[in-house]
Amino acid sequence: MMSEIEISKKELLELTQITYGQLYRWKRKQLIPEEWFVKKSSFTGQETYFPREKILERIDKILNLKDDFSLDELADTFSAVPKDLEIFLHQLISHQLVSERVIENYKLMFTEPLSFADVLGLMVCEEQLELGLINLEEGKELIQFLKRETESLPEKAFELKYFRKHGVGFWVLIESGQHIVFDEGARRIINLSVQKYMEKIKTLL
Amino acid sequence: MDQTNSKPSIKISGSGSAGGGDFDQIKISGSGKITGDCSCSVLKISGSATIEGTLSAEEAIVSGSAKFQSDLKAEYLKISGSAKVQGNVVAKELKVSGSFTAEQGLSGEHMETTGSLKVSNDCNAEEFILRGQCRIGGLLNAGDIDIQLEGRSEIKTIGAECIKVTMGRYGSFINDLINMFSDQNGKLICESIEGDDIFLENTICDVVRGGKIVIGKGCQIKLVEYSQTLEVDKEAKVDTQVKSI
Repeated sequence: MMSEIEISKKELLELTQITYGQLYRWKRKQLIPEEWFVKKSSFTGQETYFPREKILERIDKILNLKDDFSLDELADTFSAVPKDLEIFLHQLISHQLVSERVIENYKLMFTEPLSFADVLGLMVCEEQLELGLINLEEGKELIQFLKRETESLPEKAFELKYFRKHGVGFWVLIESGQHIVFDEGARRIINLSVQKYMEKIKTLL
Repeated sequence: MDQTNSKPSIKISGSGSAGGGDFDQIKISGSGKITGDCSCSVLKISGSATIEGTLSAEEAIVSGSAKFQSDLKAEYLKISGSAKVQGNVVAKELKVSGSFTAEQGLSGEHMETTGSLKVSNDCNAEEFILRGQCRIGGLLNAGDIDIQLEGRSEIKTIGAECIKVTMGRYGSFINDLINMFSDQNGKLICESIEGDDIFLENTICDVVRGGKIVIGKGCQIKLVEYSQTLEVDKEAKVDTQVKSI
């Protein structure tokens, strides 16, 4: 993000002729990802900057499509990850999404290029191993699980959960907003929204 | 609706606790605790309650005191007592007449507060109405913001289509009397306000940017940038004003 050419909020509004209200509305509707708003201090306090090319392209798309689609429909198309995604292990390391140590542990399970599910699995493993919530074996189960579910993954908003009862754990993938009910002994260890990883993964494209 | 009839209900009226699950109604009128994640069509708390897991409800009404230790999601959320949520809050319709604290983010469509509202991070709404006090530690992002100040409110940054901040005017005689003696009455403190249509009174802010801006009585603004029109009341102070293209 840092190495990219940036554009200030003011410059962006002048260039695209959109208003503050529109910009905030689109942010609220998640048409513009949170991570693109980069705050930096300036003499007037704080200024917001955006990755120039990405934001200009996104606003152009919104302006072109907003008369034909609802903002919610647009948000869905922007958050979907293309199925023909091609990602290599070294990219994950160079973008600091996954550490070398974690990749070393699991690399035999993958053939490159990686699918979205593969990358998701690795990123979740990286985070959760770091937090100490799962062990290496449980991470392996996740990666295998996601590989089997590859096809359905980018289509909808999913939540990924990990439960444990009496020391035995299992992964659950569930459409966002749905409920699961377990008996009392089951503890929810991990609760993640897959959506959140999509934007991160798309930064690789 | 037939389906909900088959779900069990919980009623705690003395002191008790229950695990999580999927319920029709949860009513707590004594002192109660829910230890797991749960969903229900109606949650009513008139006593004191602690909800340890996530809660998802069609309708949640707190007239006593409640503490939610995880996320809270409701179609309709009404707080007339006091409630604190340690997780994220998503409430399509929120009505606060008591005190409500969201220790992470708050998002919804229609929010109306006549008491006190505290949000530690960002607050997102289509319509945000406040007749009272609020403290928002992040961005208040809304379509329409209508604030009548009572006491001191703090919002870090505001971004909206339409923003209107006025001094609380009702109970005028008493209010005027208090105003004479206290400087702290009815004030909004902000770092930045950005919007298309902005009307401010009694607001202290570093930067105000927008299309049509009216800076009314009692404002102290360091920098105003406007693209269409600007009006400044003679009882307001603006250090620098800039017309942008």
